[in-house]
Amino acid sequence: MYTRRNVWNLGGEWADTILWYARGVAKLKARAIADPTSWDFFGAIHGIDPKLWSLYGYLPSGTVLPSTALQQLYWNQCQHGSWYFLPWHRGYLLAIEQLLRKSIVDAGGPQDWAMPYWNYFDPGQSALPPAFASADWPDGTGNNPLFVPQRWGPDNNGNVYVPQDQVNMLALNDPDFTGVRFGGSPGFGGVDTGFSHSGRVHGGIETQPHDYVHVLVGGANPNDPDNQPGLMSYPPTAGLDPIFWLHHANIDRLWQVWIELDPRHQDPDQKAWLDGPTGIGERHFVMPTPTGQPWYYTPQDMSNISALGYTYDNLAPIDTTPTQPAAPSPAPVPRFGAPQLAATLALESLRAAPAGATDMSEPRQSVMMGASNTNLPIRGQMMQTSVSLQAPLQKRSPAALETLAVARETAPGRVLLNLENVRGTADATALRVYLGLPDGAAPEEHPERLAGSIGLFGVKQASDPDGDHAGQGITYVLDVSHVIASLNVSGSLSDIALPVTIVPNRPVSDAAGISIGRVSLYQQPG
Amino acid sequence: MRAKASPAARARMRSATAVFAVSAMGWVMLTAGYRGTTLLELCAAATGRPGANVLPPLELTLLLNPIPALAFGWFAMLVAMMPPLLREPIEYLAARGLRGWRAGQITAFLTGYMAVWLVAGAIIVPASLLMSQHGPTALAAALALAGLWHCSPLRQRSLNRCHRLPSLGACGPAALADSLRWGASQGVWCVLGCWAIMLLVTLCGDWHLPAMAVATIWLAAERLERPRPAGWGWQWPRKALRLLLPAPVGRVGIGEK
Repeated sequence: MYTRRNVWNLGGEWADTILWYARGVAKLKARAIADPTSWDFFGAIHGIDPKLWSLYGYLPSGTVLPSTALQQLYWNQCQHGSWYFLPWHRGYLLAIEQLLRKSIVDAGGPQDWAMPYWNYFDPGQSALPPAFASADWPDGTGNNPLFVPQRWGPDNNGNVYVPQDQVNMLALNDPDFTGVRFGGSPGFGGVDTGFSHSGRVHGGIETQPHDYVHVLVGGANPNDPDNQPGLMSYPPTAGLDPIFWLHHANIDRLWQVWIELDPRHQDPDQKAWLDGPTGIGERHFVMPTPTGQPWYYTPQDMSNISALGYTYDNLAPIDTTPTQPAAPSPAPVPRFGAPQLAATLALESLRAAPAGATDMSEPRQSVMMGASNTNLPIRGQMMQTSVSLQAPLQKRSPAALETLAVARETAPGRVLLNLENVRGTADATALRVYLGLPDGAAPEEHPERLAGSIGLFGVKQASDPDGDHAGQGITYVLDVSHVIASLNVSGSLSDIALPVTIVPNRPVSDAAGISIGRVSLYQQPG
Repeated sequence: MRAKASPAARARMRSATAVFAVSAMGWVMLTAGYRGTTLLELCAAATGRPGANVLPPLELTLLLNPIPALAFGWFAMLVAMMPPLLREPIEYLAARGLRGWRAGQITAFLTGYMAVWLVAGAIIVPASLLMSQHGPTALAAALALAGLWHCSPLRQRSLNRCHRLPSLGACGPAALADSLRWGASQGVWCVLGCWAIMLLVTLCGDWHLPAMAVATIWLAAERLERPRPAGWGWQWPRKALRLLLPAPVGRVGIGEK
């Protein structure tokens, strides 16, 4: 049984696991891209953008590419905006780990080498592990394969870290692996994409922390931020950055944490998920093995990490509350399970769940409460709009709230903010979303109104009219139950409209063309 | 025990049930009320030569098939053939609209869509009648035209645009106007994608209904495909073919040779 360990707890900046990882990466990087066991070939499995790869030096002139048959079998395979996101990446990670382990063992390294993971949530561990930040090996010689110049960080200045107040694990609260495409929760793992891949919606764990960490770590070239994203910021280059694998090992670990958090957290049992996309006429999931033979796998093959021969050194339950301070509330948000929200919403119009109902396997149909105007451009440092409410989010006195909270303890509802059809060409953009900010208020002074954050990882491809998404961008769904509860308790909830403030991580240029199609609010009963 | 369908699959089934019910109504309209051009049979009977290859003059054709009947026939064709292509937009409108406005938005969308197709019919049907004067040559020409158009980049671009699900106003006049506009734009892309097939179908004479059925299945199969880069070349509906004819997979476990 292989054990994947926290990269910060290995015993040193260049602990053996990291040193051997670097040696393995160097071996794979030395192979030509036409070799299915090379670093670059594996990067292209996630995606390839020849123009940007060439600009960054990954496709020098004269490079011989693999055959068309190999490209069609393996490349541009990554699964995003789909319930296949987690199982596909698990297989991808297993494949590169196996390849690296073989190289490491052949070079005299440990037989039990396993990919470390980067848990940026742990206190003191949000910075990029030092071995990745140095251009040199530990003996001072240059050309450290773990370092890449196109990793600019959240401030686009080469200082790479994950701001812990902008990432969260609220997705672990989602009781269901899969959800709906339009309006309600897409589920922890994402939506059953069925026969159509247009109108992409990212699942809970994919939105946060996956997309956000990609964008914050990659950043963009400060001299040309709209056209030169960091490797991690853009799907067709992300697989080239050695930190990609440690990030995805953490995402993979969080999948297992979610499973173990609650016995009701289950992977889908529908044939469409178990059999993978070949069951709906799509391509196979397939990876090269160290011998060059293709390894075909399905989500069903990926559903048990013990059966796959590995585990993590830490799968303990995690505090999933947002790390920023919350406003005082008489109905505290529990650390595990769905936030208690029902007390603060006008749910009389919705069918109440029977007392004691605990079936979390059936997400109830969501209802739209209101929406903003359409076609909202994001320019400069802030964008403000409001969601006009069809039915008021009804206010109650604190005493009534407490009584209602007790009565509805077993049937919590959720409020979901949809950022629909987010489009643009600058993936290295992160947006913080605030609800109910007072007029003229500075967002950074109201962390309790921070509804969530999204990273526009994949938005450029999704905005191509002739691309998979028919040019309609990506839709993000944020569970804003905790903010709505806070607004109600503080008496700030309006009957008419809910102010929404979007703050990008850096001023957005006209050229980036970032826009939100519409902001809408849905209620999903428990 | 068989697993319950996923929430997204259940939403798809609800909209599929609705659109296939409407499509079925269209087929009933066609088979119950539409007679097509029966002049071949009529004229053959008049000459005493059943099955004779008699080409009726255009004026006689129009006399026996007045414009309202032609318009009704075209409308019935659209009701029968197009709903399966609109499953996703209908699901989207139902989910993305505010209570009290959804029915209006769906109606506005369908109005815009059908209006464009009815205008297209005012060109396709007369063209079909004119071409039918040339017998089998017309059919061959329409087949060649449909094949050429199928391979064209503009057709692929049109098919790509048919997958768009734009943001719409949630209520009020904006919601209805946006839905009407979207329906009309979908109609335009749909006409651009499918006009040649529809022309071909109208020239199939006695084989009109089977041709319609084949065309409906083909167009629905194409709808399953993802948008792809536009370029010259024949495109098969590969997803549908893979569903019908799954390829064998050589399975190698990870770590195995």
